Amino acid sequence: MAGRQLIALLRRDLLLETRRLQTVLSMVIFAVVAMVVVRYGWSADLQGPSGASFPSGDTAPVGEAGPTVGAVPAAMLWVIFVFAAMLGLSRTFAHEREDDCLDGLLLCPVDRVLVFCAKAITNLALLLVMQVVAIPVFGLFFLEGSAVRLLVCTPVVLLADIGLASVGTLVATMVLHARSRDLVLPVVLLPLLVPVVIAATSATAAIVDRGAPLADVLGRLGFLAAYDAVFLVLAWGTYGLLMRD
Amino acid sequence: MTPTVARLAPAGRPASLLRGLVSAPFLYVAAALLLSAGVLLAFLVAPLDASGLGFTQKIFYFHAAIAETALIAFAVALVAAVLRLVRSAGPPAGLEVAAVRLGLFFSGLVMVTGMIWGRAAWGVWWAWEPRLTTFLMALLVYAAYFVVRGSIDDVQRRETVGSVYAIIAFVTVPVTFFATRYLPEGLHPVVMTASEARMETSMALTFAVCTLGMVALLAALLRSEVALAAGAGALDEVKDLLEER
Repeated sequence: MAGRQLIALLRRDLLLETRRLQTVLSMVIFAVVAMVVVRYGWSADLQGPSGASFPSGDTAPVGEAGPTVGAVPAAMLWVIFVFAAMLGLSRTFAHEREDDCLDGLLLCPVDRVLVFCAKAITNLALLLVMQVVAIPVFGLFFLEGSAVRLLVCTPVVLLADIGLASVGTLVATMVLHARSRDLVLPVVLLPLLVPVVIAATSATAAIVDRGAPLADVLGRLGFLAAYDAVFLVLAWGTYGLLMRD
Repeated sequence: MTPTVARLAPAGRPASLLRGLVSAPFLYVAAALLLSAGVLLAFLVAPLDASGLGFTQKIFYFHAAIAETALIAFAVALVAAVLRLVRSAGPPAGLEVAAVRLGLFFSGLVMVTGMIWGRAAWGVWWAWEPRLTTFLMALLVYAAYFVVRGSIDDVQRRETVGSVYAIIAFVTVPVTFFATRYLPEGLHPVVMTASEARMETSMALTFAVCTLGMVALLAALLRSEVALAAGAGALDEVKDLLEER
């Protein structure tokens, strides 16, 4: 019963997204444009007056203290992902509001948690589609030879995306009836996503820089999984209250 | 409307001993006495720290006490929020708002005392290490509480969303608390562990007195804030009544 309801809700949300590819297209374009800008600024910085240059991760001084070449692009990657996710999240309830579907949705005899699940899975799908394009571009721009290692990042990306989608959908629901919600959403969401960004960044950097201890990456993955689980439980417990009327 | 106005009138029954002990004036006096005793103990009785921190260690009696008080304030907000959502007649919204506001106030003091110590011990005002970063993040998450509340016009909805947010924001507190203990690259010292408190008796006594004093100050301020919020609410009701006539 609940499964069929969830599939119906999900089908509706995904159908709306695929009919007008506006949201996912703007996320992809934003991510790629942002990477181009950062890559340009980065190379200008590294080939500055001193002439020092680190063209790719392979020649990076591995094992030294401080950020290596892998850490800065990894941080940039996740910051861009968060902002791209924000584009999708701010559209979570846009259809419901613009076409007055919210009342209809609330009148449906379904558990509110299923509404959350459908919205969160839709946001997750948008993120994954964006990343399927953006991560190869990242590898091409920043890693060149060692880009294949990004495949190892798949669990990191999946766990971090679940965190982005679940926290984001929960906060998007909280600000559903807020004034100037497009302004409030990032202000509220970004601090809550800082732990996800930090864990995902350090895990990605550890994988991209060769020689990272596996235990370190596993610890980050464990943290991401725990953070996801906590927010899913919180959403399950509070979503009915948030969408009461 | 009238019951609230009647509640403002002085209560006819004699105050019980317990009521007197947790009254605002008593709590203010207790906080003043305990904190004065704490200052005297810290500078005159407690021995100089032998582990290399020396005189600068004395700020910890206040820094750690304030930090624990801030966490207690956030915990009070969490409990108030849960009670408000679970029970229809929970504590007043003023308690939750006041607890978050005072938690932020004490967190600001933690920042200031921590930075003073960091400057003396590490030579820098700020370091991007786990405890400081997660604490700053918690501060930002709680600051956004007022953004969320301020953006929602409908009173009922504002209080529900505010309570849900106060619960979600508390996730950052255990993250901050455990950051020093489980993340490898921390600089922040850990004094209390589950198995032992690495302190002499006089140091532990000083610390306990300071913590109690800060908690008493928190309780006193909470009481004043709640009374103020209740008074403001009652005043609004009276104004509405006058306008109706």
